[in-house]
Amino acid sequence: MTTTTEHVPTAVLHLAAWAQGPAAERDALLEDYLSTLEQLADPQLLAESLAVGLLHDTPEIRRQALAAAVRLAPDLAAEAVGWALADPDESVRGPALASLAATPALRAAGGPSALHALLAVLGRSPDQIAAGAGNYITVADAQALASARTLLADPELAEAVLAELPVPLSADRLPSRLSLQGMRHIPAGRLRRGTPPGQEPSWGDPGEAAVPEVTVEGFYLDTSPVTNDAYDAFVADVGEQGHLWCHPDEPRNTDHTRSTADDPRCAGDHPATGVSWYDAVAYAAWCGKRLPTEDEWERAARGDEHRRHPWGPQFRPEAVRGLHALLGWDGNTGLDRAAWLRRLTDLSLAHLPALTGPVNLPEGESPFGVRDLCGNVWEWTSTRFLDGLPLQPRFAAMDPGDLWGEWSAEVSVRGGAWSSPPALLTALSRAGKTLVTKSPEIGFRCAVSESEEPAR
Amino acid sequence: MTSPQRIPRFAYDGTVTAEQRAFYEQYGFVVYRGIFDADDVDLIKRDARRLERDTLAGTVPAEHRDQVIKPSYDEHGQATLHRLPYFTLHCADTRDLIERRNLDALGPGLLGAPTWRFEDAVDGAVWQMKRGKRSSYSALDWHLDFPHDLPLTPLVNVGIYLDDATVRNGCLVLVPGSHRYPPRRLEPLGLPLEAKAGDVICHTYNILHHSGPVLDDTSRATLYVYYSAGQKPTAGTAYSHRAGEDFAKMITGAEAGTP
Repeated sequence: MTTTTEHVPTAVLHLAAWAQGPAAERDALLEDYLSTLEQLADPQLLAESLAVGLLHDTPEIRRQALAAAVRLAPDLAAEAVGWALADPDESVRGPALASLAATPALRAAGGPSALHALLAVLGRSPDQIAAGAGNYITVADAQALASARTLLADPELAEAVLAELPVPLSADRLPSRLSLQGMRHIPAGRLRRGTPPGQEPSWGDPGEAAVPEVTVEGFYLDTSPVTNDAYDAFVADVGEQGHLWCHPDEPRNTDHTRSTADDPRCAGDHPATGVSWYDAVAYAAWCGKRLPTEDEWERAARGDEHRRHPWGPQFRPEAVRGLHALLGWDGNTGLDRAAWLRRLTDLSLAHLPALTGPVNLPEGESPFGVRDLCGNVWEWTSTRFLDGLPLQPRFAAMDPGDLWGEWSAEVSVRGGAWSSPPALLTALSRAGKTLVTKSPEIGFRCAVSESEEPAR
Repeated sequence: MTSPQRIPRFAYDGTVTAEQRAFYEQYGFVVYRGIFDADDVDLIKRDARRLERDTLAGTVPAEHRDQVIKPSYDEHGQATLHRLPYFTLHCADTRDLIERRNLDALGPGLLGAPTWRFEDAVDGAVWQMKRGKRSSYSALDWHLDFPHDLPLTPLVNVGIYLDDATVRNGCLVLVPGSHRYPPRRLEPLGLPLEAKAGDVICHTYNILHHSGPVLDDTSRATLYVYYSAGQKPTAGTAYSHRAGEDFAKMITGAEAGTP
């Protein structure tokens, strides 16, 4: 809306220029302004003059201008109601909505645009609006609901508006894929972090945690890591439906294709690898789940007995997929870090017949029936590595290269991978990886809170 | 700010392990739990009370009295000090204790080179007390202890905690890894390091750090011992942290400095 200043009455210009001062001064200007509006016959000039009041910085002026718009220009009032719905001052929002509900002319003139605006604020479900559900507790909320109900009571109007509503860029309206099939229930219980009491720490064990013991609420965890086949189905669905499940911090339209997609050694029933933390989060959201916290992962692996390995205290080479079969293993903890790194350096990964292996290895089952927790792939969690608190990424504005060395971008990964020495193939070991890392050694599995359990 | 959960608290047996040194080099700090027991802490606190009394009485040489933080005064006008420099020079019992606990091995262990301990120069070992009420020293803004081009560097700051440090009473907050990569964020995200009395927190001289205000009624004392692998200045060389503060200001845009 543009303003043609040369025709605008002086009282309107005075009001536009007024920013602050005594209330009496404001009221005098407002009285002149409102009486001037009554005398304007040119609809264009009336609309421009009303806009001065409707967009004014002072709530009282906006409120009075809105009342004048309802009285003098129902066509504009419908649009003004839309603006008022977003007004930060509830003393402006409330009267606008009350006017809308109580004025048949206004409903007739601006019903569709007002209903659009109301649905944008209140949600898209007529049932929910009729029931008044949600966090609607203020007077303005009540008036908004009443207005929406009034407009929705007109079947023609409601049908036309609801049919026109654009499909939101959100997964909220899609049917939930959440299923607990392929998951195990982990009951609530205590977790003792770190080396089991009375045991000599191995070089792969983490240092004593600042808080050594916590309670973990009950949850469900995938029995095995997400496979390449399952992950590729997600990528295909993103191709069809768009990026509906991505973490809000992830740069828009990031390609979720795993970096191992072209490696024929990474078969469909192997754990998905070459996926960043953002990829894993998006996959989990796609199937209605989430990544496990580090504590959840560890409790699922260690059980009530706080085991070193999911199956018990001693390393069992046949229970874990790792290079120990190839590089050697001499005892419970195997080679030390330096010796293992020397052997890895001499290894040509390109010539290995396989890196990962099929999931669902029964020998390594945990007390809760969860498999593949150690070996094959490290697994992303939702926990920040250094302090063990929830990861809260806010890196969208940063170049990915700047994330290296940023401690708050390091995610805890658990369980060790096909490339890890036996000392790291435990339920205790942990490592920090920058969340944009895509590695053939890192995969993930998903979790569901008990409170999210679907109705049976 | 929520309390950290999984920051490793290492055990110290008089030598620095390869794992501890790797952690220190990567993140710029390391936490050791319970190097000093309750009796040790009491001994250092006794020394501190005596040195504070002697300083206020004027029996400590002027050049060994603090010039950095103004004293605070209680409701009776009684002065209390926040900073006691040259602590081990004037407190032989504490100096012996530090040597008995083999703290001197932390310097070479963490820095990978022979080190010397601040004793008679650059303020020596420094006792600091933070108080919440009626205090001229409660919080410290983002800063580095020393810029990296000082001849003293590299060096490690070894903080012996004489009281529990919590998020509530303004514990140390640092930006892990900022000694290697300057923070790329406009507002660097700090990691609070909580500690128990008797714990020791070591951090590099050039890590970005601060400590928040004391939000409760407690007071919190720490004895800072410094080990340098750089050049040793002559006795009496004065301490200045201005350069480190200016550098931190450049990074954060914040006004650095001791109140």
